Amino acid sequence: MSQVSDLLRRYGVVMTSYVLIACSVWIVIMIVVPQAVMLTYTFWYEDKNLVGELYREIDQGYAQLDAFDAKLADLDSRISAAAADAKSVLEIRRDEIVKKEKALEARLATLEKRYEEEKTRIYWGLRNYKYLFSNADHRMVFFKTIWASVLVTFLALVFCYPVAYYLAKVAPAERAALVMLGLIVPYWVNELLRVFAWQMILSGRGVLNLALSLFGIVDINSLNPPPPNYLGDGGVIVGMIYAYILFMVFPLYNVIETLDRNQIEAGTDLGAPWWGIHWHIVIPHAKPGIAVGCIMTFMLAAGSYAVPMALSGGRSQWFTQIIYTWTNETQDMNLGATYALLLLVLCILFIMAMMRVFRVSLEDIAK
Amino acid sequence: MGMDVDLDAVTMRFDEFVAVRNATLTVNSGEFFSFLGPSGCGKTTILRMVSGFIDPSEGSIRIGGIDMRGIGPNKRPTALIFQNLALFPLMKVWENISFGLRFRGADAAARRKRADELLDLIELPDQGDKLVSELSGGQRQRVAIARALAVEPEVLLLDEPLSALDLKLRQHMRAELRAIQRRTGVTFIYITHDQGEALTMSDRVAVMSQGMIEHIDDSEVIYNRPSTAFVATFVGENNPFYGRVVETLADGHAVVDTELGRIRGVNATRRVVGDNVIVFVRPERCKIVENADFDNVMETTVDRLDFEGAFVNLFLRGQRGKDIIVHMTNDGRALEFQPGMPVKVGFSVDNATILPEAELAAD
Repeated sequence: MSQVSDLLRRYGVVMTSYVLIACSVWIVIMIVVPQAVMLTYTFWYEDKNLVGELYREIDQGYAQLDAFDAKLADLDSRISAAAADAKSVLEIRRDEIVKKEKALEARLATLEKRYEEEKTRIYWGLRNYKYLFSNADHRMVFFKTIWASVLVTFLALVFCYPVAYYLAKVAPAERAALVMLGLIVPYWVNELLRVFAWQMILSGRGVLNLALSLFGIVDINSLNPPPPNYLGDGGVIVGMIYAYILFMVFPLYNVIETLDRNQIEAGTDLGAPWWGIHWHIVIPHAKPGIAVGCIMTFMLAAGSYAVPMALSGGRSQWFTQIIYTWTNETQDMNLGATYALLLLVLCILFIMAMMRVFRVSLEDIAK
Repeated sequence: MGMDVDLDAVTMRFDEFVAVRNATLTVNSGEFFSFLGPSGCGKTTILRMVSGFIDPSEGSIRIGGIDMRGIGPNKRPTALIFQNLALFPLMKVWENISFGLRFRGADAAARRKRADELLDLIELPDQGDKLVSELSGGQRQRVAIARALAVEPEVLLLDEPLSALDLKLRQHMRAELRAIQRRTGVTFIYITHDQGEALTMSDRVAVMSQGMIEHIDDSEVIYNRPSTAFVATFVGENNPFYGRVVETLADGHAVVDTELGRIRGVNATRRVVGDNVIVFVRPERCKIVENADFDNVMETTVDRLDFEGAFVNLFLRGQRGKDIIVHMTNDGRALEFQPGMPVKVGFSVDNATILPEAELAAD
């Protein structure tokens, strides 16, 4: 609470209260409540199958009632037109049908009552989790998503580290500013549009193949076989690295920037080659930035929807797409919540693993 | 024994700005050599050129007779000690010291052993496993020196290493550095703006101003026989008297008519009658006298007195209105002087240096 009294002293009661209240509201409304609701969702389910069955039965029942009515009407007309001795047989039949009808109506009443109950009934249990862990296809998609996200993170790191180092330590000030501007400007364009731009680049008759056809490597006009397209797993990975590059470059840049240039020079002066400088001096210093960059890139990649949707060409499936199917197509919010929770748990585990591997604490990351 | 370092007509230009102009000198093998000058005089640039971080625009640098052009800092037989030390904060002390040995094929055990040897040399035994942040300023200083010595350089380059230390520590470290240099025989090139450091530690000193080397010599000659007005005023305190030569004498002396009066001084740079000159007289070479037993005697009045503990600075005004400062030890008589008292100031011919008129060192 000493921090609170510090704040009070510096900024006064009004400012401090505003800050504390705003933070609490933010945390509660934007983080705690949604997560808590989602968590409870995973523990109950509706038995849609049962409801559907009841609905069908009721439907069939009414159809059957209509059939009975038709039959009765028919019998009535035949009875009135029939001779006396035939009449009793028909009347017996009519009575039977009326009895059946009544029975059916009673049954329908019960069914409808049950339907109304089941329509809004929720069952508490672990059925959602059981479903999740038993579905082999979804399991495969889940692990594929993890693996691909790790790959994206690793490739982004390998690509962005030299760029960040160049900007932070090698480039003169104006050039560094220009390159950073060049990195930021694409982000002024909506993410979806940029992803679709990649679709245009990677598709069979897209920009990449157009360029290749200029060198004669690819025939863009051939119909059989058609020119190759680069959508699919590879396309998704490239698209993700492109989309999230800033989230890797900037944490790296910020942390490398704080490294005293003299240390690099001292290392060089003592005889270290360039790789020795990076391995022993720059990277240890940059660990918090690397951790932050990896965490953000991984979370964005694992949770990405637009990129796999646009660039997988129908070939691969991403975990987020399954969640979308549950929530928007099948309308099963509970399964959707369960899958989403799994994704969240995955990300938290990844963050903790990163923090342990790079030996950084939360404060380092916050900086 | 360390190597010699040879600068031949070395010039360094940064776009329009000339940082070092036509520097030619030789640092002898095993010498403690200092570059002395104010900020911006080019001494840091020279150090960076010798260590290999920049190549001179013109001229050549040879170490041990080998031309160093195109050879990077990690390949030169030099080691640099930075002004802010640049120790590696994430490594332990022994890892810092043995860092350079990693790239010479030494395994961990050999490196640890060498680090321990050097820790003994710098008198910090058993401190190897600490982090740099746990050491004091003086201890860190010594670790930086050990780190540089670990790679067995022929030439050790020191960039104002003592400027961040307090007075007592600085004085202690001066003796330490000198002792280490004597013990290892490595050629030391030391840059500083503190002339006390340069004079006490060095075999020879090069005084620099605005990219030019003004004077290279032993400490004693630099101080007693400065060759330019800048050197005369940058190194130590000096009384400058502007004037014109009125007579030259056969024994290498000359008479100058100055703002203080007529002074007879040593004419080492062979000025002729009519030349504009400055006559420099060291404050500690002036004596308060009763009679005219000295070559030069001036009538003055006491203006004020600065009492600085062990010594006293006496400000006297001459008959032509020019001040002369006399530096005296606090032998008990100093406080007898009251403002307004008439006193006679005397100094010998040898203590009056005649130099061409030129820019003085800024205060």
